[in-house]
Amino acid sequence: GGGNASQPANNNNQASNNQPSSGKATVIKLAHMSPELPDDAYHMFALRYKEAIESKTNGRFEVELYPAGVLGKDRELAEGLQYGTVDLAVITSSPMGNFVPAFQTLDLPFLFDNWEHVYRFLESDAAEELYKETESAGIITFGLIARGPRSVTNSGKAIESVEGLKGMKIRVIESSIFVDTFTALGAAPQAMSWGEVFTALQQGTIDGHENSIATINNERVYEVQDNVSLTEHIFAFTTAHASKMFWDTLSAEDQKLFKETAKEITIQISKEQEKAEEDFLGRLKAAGMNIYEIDRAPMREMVNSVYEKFAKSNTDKYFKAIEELK
Amino acid sequence: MKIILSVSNLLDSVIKKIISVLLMIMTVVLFSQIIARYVMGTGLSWSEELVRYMCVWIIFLGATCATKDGSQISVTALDEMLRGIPKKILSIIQMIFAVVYGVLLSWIGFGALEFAKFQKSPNMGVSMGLVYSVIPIAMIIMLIHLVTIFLQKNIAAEEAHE
Amino acid sequence: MSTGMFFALTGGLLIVGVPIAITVGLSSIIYILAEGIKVQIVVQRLFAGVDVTALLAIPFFILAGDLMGKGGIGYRLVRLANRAVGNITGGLAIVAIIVSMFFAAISGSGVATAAAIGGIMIPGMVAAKYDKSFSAAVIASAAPIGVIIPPSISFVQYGVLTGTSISDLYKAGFPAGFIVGGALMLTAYLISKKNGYKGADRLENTHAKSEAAVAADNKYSSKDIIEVLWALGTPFIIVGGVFGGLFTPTESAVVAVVYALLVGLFVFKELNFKNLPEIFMNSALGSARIMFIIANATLFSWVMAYERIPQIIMESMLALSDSKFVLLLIINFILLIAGCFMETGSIILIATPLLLPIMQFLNIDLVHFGIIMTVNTAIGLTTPPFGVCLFTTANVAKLSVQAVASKVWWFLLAMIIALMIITYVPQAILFLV
Ligand code: NA
Ligand code: NA
Repeated sequence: GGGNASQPANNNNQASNNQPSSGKATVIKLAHMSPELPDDAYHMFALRYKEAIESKTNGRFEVELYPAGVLGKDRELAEGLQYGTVDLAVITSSPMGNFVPAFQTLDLPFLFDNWEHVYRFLESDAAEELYKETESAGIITFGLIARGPRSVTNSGKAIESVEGLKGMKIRVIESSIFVDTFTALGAAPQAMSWGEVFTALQQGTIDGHENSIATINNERVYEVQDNVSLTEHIFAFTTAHASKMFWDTLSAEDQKLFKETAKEITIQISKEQEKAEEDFLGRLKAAGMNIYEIDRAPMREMVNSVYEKFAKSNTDKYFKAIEELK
Repeated sequence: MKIILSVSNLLDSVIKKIISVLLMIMTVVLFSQIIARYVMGTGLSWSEELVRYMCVWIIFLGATCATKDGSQISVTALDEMLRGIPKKILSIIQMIFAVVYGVLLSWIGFGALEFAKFQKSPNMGVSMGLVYSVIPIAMIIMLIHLVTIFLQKNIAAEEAHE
Repeated sequence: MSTGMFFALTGGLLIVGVPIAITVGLSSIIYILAEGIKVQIVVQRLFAGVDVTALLAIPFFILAGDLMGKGGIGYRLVRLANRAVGNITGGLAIVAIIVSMFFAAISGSGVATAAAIGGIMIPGMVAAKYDKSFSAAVIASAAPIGVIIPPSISFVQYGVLTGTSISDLYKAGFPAGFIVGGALMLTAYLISKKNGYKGADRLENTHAKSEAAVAADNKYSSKDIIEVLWALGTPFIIVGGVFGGLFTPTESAVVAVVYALLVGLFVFKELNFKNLPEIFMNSALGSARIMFIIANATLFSWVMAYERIPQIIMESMLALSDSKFVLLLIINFILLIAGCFMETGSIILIATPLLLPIMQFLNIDLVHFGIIMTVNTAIGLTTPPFGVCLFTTANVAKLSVQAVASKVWWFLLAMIIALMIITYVPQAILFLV
């Protein structure tokens, strides 16, 4: 036996494909770009939603899963929802900001204090209003899955305070808020596509990168990095969506069922992600990584410029609502 | 005939200049990014996206030039086997399929712009409609080249006949 | 529209001689229209297929190869190789394979390798009286080894999908790459022996301005040695820069372009500002020809994924037997066929989760299976009818696809034998893990 660590889920989608379809079932396509891992929030949602919808509708619907980006990456899946080539999709919240600018609010650094703050937002009217914003883009939003705060990894000398970030070549996602945040923190952010990151970290082309603890574990970053510094600079969210085209074919009762089922599962998975964070940190330690706590207070001050720039180009409605929930 | 031929030739020479310049800009931008990382210790969020989109433009615009000079990569085994009339018929069949592709893709391409125009690119914030527009544009140019080639071949054939 | 009709349409267009890009694109569009799938997806997939950072290596390595060729670096490198191994049977072919392996390992892209190395080695081999189609076939079959020898995005994708250590995959990837490379070298030697391919005493000049250098081909003056050092700077910068952590593999292509440009303009003075626009235009056009195929192939792959065609085919094939030996054979066969129609990344993403339960059932080491998958996808880059490395070398060598394909069969056979060794003798690759 060779493969160590976690084994992937036993393809539930494959099993159901083998079942003879009743002929009456409406087949719907649910896509996401994450690997088919049992602890992955995207895949967890896909598996549970499939099971719940199929059983709650007594097989009137059959949900086919398209994981691992086989139908496209986040931005492309959002387009697929607009076109109606995918019916349901689980995508990262950041790319949604290119379709609905208000979604960029969620990427603001140090916006959320902690998980409690996030839950208060998820249950607020502001969140529901934010979801409604996507309808004009032809996308229905069911809810947000909170995946946890993003932190920085590096190799060699550990980053134990914000000063440690100075001049560090940190890979960030290709987004101006991320680049601006790390510039404000004194680092040298490098926007690099994910495909190149593993090799770049291994060869030392970049000093480190930032990601949620779950992703650092699932994407096996611990194989090429020594340290995790808990900067918790930006909270990572995943969103569950339906295509408006598909949505409009559903009866009012089915719409309610689809929406409520999704909402239930997003909240459930968010809570599990919070618990899993400890477990993932434990696994990272077991894989040889050192974990460092880091004082976040001075960092919030340093990123004021990011907020100023954001306010010039976007609505501050959701930002204010989230601040009030502190 | 003369008009379409000169339009086709003009488009071809302009496009060739555009793609050369795009490749030069791509080289300068990416090299500057590497230099910036070491000399100034900064990174750019938009450079990679700009270069990727430029590359996509080169591909679709370049495909029109390859259509014009018949240098698209294809399996030419049958072409080499045939002579005379059958060979001519074959080349007409090939052209018909290329025209069908160009017509369908320009139609689909214009339709897709409707969806894309409100979407912003992740880093530069330009409209994705603008970015995607290369596909219908390239297909229209490709169709102009195809029609020109078709007319040229047939007129040349008629003249030879006379 | 049935799956059978979809493949028949694709095959038909290909045989008729419709350009390969239009063949796969048009049959996908027709299928999408026939099935009533929303057509907007066509534009998105064509775009997404080439809106990929790693693919930027292709235009830049094509440009680097062109600048090296026209700027005198290529000639000096080939001359050095000819001097070193020219009197050995198949010497230049073997050098071409080693250089391709080296270069491909770093660039990670079979297509970029085929373009850059093909542009330099094929003219060099032809100058040394090697058959042109044979020379192109050597490059077409050696270039894909880059996905087997680390670093390799395929291993990262597979490792994440299966929970296998990427470092272990890397450790097994090296010997696997050398087994495949070794099989190719042996084949190149045997074919060269049969046909009497040897290096020339004097290399026919392939570059106008190097006339004087050619006259003194058997001697290396101190000036020549300095020039060779400048020429060797290119591979040195690419390899050293990537492994030294100065830049990513994609960025190394840009650095190679700038280096070749500077050396060609100011050291060898064989480039000038007047001929640069044409070089850039040719490289842009060459990239467009190849990447237009990749764009359309992505659409084709998407249709297959959307309609679950690979799943349906695999499930029916795997039901044929439950013997470990036979199943492995079937899996290799399916993956090779998939390689004829789909690109590397799509195969790994779709086939890995499907085959994983079978691997666990057969108790096959997951590192071992990752290598089997990757070697299969690598071979797929060269197998006719659809092999992008095949198209790329045909394009740089200015030969027809079938001319290269006609000489590639022996090399494919060698790669398949290597694959069988890797499949049935796991110790051959797992000894470092
Ligand atoms: Na490699
Ligand atoms: Na192939």
